[in-house]
Amino acid sequence: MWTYDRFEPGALIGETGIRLDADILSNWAHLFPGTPQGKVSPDLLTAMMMRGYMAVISPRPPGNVHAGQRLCWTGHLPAQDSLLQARYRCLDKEIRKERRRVTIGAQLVDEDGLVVLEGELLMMWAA
Amino acid sequence: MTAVKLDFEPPRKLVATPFCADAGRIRLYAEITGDFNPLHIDADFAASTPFGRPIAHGTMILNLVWQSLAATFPGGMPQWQIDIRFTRPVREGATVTAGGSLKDAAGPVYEIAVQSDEGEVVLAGEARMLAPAFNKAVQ
Repeated sequence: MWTYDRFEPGALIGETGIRLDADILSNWAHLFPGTPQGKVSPDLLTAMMMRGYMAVISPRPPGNVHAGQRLCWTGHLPAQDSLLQARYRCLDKEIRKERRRVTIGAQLVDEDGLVVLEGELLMMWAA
Repeated sequence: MTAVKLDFEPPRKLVATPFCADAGRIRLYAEITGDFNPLHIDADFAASTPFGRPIAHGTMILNLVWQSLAATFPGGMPQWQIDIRFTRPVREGATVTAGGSLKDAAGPVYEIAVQSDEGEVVLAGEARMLAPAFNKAVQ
């Protein structure tokens, strides 16, 4: 279980591979019909950042709240079927007003080693 | 941060982008992200929480901001840095609209928000362009 005490600021939490397969792109086009078929978009990359988060930082205590998000899209869009590496690092943690705040850095890297998306997730950790 | 030089006037408003966070869309987003938190997809569980009914995933609502930016710059997306806070939950079935207004033309920087049909701000923050659009934006 990823409890608040387990996070170490500066430490790598873990990483996972995410294949941008046809099913993911098809589901995305259903969710946001304006998305060009078969194309990866920065919004889909944001969803992949969350997919990796769910896989790497698991299990989590119930009741966490996603309070804030910073994103930086580098302008790079990987192709369908490419494999992304999603890496997560604890950037900071603090208790403020009796709430456990954890800031997690996320990075999506394509097959050529180029960073395609960076993010910082501000989470209110339940336990 | 270095300002981006544009060869066009940045639009004063981002294209308003509405979205209904219905149960089907929430379920689809859960499948895409692997986030099957019962608070999002289990009506019985959600009824036992202070929310009373399922709420949409925060980043599904955040993605409306990307949709709004893409609609504003249809010729080719510039690079962006987005910094937001989720200010209120979006309950299943609610319709929300993403948009924004120009805060600093020299950045350019947009003040961005997603609002419910009742006028509640559910997400707020800013989007800063990091590199120019490839083509002229929607005016």
